[in-house]
Amino acid sequence: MMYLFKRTVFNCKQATLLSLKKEEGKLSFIESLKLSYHLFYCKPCQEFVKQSDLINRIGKDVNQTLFNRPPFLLSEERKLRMQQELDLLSR
Amino acid sequence: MKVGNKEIAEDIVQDAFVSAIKAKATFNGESSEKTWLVTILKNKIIDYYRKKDVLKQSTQYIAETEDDFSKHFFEKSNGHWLTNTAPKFWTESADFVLTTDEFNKIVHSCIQKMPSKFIPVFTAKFLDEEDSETICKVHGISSSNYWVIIHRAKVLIRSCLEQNWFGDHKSR
Repeated sequence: MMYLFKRTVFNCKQATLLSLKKEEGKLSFIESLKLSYHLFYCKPCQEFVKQSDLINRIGKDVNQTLFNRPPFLLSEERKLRMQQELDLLSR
Repeated sequence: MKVGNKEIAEDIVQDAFVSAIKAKATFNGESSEKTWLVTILKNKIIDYYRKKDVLKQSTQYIAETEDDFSKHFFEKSNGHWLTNTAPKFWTESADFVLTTDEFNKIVHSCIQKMPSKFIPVFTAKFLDEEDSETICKVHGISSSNYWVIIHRAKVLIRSCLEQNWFGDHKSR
């Protein structure tokens, strides 16, 4: 039993997966205990959690930047093809 | 950033515009035109992934690539981080300007380096902040596969950003 406990609690691969579930509020009580215990001892996983959070914020920023960016202009050829497609529809 | 190819991206945009014009009667002005167009475009991108059947046999794919993924990051016997790929302390803080084109390019290339099955799932969460239930439903994957994909994708992008940006490349 203790062996099994150690194997799962001191497993960084497991713990990082749990930390991502936590971000989405999908952890059971036992899982959240396991995770807190692991994080208390594990420096690299503490970094992982911080960085994962930063990466989520980066995603938001990148998405916003792309949304606000002035649009790419489609080529004349593209516009022509779109016009043709629309002409077909209206016929 | 999502489909990784300009020609395909333009095809999808063209398709989205045509659909939008066809459906313009249903636009009710509750959101801005731009938001409305972006929603149509997002759905077109999902259709594109579906048509290509990007996520078919994901369970099998995940099982087959498990060892290959793990051996780069985790010790086989106990799941500990390997010394050379374990997360290092990132010197730059979260509050500095990350919205430069240079940084965006790196994010873009880190996403494109991922296995193609991960990209639709990861970008839906990372860029569009969709919740897991929606993503699973839209792409027809189980929630356990969702978590494996999100986990691997996060480990990969974290490592890629560390190598190309947050690591010590600037002081070198």
